[in-house]
Amino acid sequence: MACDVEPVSDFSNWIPIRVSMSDDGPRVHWFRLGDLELDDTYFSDTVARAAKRPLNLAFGRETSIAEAGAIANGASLTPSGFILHMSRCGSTLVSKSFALRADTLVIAEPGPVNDVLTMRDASISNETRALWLRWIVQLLMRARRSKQTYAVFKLDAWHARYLPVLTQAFPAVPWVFLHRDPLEVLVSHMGAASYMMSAANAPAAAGLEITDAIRYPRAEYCARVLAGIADAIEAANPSRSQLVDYYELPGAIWARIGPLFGIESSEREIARIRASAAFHAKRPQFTFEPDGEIKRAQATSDVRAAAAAIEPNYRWLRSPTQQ
Amino acid sequence: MTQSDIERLRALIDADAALEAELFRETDATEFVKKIVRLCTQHDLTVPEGAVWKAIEEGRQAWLATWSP
Repeated sequence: MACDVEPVSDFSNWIPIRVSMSDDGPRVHWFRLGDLELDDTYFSDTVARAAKRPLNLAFGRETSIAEAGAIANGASLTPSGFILHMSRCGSTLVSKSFALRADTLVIAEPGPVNDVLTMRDASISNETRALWLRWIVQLLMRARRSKQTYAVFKLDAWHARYLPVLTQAFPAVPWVFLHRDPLEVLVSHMGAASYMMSAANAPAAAGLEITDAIRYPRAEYCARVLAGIADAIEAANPSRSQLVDYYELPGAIWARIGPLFGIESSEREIARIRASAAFHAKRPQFTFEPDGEIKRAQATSDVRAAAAAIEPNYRWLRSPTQQ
Repeated sequence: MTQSDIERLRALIDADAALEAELFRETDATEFVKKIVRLCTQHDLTVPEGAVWKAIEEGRQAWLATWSP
């Protein structure tokens, strides 16, 4: 569906940073990106750099979603692939590995995509949401440098719950789902709190009201979020090739995920990924040390009980019978 | 700074890519404010310095409100 609103001003140097809901419908908030590149580990880090420019703070732009659609019109950009994940399972290693390539734009956890997917308004149909999502993704992809022929989007973990909208928006774009032993994931979440597992994110991540989310013991709530994500993946009926276990990394990046996205790696590129994977993806000042056994040993009884509830999901994800 | 002054200022910047690029390159808020005030003087807009600082601060608050902890 095309957008029949005329474009306003010149937005060629601007990217959407947020989509908010107003009485008049969704509003898109823009920052000028200028010479800044989308080369940070996470999209929000680049936005934070752009926020250091007073022009963006004083004269950041705002449009309706229809105007954003008009600006996106004519762009026939399609992502190479989407990375979905269970959280704490190597997804940042995967996105950063693709970002090592000069020919690939990687956008990790873009806020505007989350805004469109999780906007709480029952009157918005999946079809409309998918249309808005296409516009936002295409607008973000305009930040590509000329030599970047591929674009990979790493989404937030809870976006698996919105797969029907994602696949409606981009039916031909491949996606993968990264997973890990839920006990190890849960121990990681218990040790380091995140917005993902906060009650504030419960409507998006668990389909729960904040007031209901806070009634759950922490481990049980986190397990419920993970189970919801795994259930959503199972409902999407992915092929075996789309499911990647944490313990298949980093090899699966060039052997499975890259080829699925149409991105082949040379021996030199594989060597670069291997070298990069030797360091912690989120704290690259530290070398990477396998911590699965340590995490399992750290699990308390309540965490073990919570993880046991997700065990059937994990078995399904690892099932060799998946085609 | 009246709303119409703000809109005229915004329109002025939007319409001039070179000006917008120059203002974007400015990372020092104090220098940015000086440039905006000079610009307003040139175009007969009444803009107190404090109003520009207020616009920056409001923009900062709006951006921070989007930040996931």
